[in-house]
Amino acid sequence: MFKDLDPILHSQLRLAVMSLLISVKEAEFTFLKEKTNATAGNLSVQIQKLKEAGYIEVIKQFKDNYPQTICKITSIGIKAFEEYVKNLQGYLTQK
Amino acid sequence: MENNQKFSAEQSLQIIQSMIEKAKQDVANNSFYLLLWGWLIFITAILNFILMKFTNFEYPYIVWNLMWIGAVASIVKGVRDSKKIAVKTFVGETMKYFGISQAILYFGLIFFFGKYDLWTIAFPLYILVYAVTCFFMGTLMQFSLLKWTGLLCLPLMVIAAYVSFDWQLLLMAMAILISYVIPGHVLNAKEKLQNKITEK
Repeated sequence: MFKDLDPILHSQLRLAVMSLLISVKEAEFTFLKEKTNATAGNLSVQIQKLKEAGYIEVIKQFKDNYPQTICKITSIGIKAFEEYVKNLQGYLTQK
Repeated sequence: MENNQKFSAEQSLQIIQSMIEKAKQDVANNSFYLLLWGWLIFITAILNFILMKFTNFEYPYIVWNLMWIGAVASIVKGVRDSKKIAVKTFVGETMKYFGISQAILYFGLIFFFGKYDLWTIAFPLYILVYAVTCFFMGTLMQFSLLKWTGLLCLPLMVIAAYVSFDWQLLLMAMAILISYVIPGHVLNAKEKLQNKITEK
């Protein structure tokens, strides 16, 4: 039976961010911005939504006197992503 | 990329695939260390052999002090890269700590070889370390050539255990050429090609 796709993940930019973070240990905001081609403002909003859902952890720190934002996927995020992919596969096979 | 929520399941899969691919492309360039240590050890072993065989120089082993160049260059490159890097991958992190572990291992080996005067078994053991290192790194980086060239060092290690010290030097030079230098150049060419594709 087709299950509804997670609305937090079923958004192009949020899905792209999660797909990048699932492949690495952690990534800087600049890396995510470069790979997704998103604007800084839009990316910040979507990262905040993923953080509020508990899917990612955001660490703000200073590196060489410059602010640095590091994003990391959480275990809840990994589970949600796996579930999303599973539902997606189920949906595709049903089609 | 926009924040559109109306897209198909196929488009979802495409996003996932392309992002995972993009993250993979950012894996750190590893050929630098293979080439640096490969050429440095190769040249030093040959120099040691020439000084031993063809000159009356009393301290031919002094050339091994060239290893300090490799140590300093590795530290400088490591620090510079860690400042530039915007993403930490699991492979990159494992490689980093494996590199540090190797440095500890070599210092430990040198200490014991010196303390117990075991220099006659030093080179066969170094060849064994090259074999294990390349096999592990090749597996981790999914670079088969490095894995196999590492294993090719094992017969050289066995031969080195049965020959005199000066010939051990040549076998070690051969082992490092096979296990580090050749795969290092192949990896370097691959990385250059990948960087070109990424820039496009």
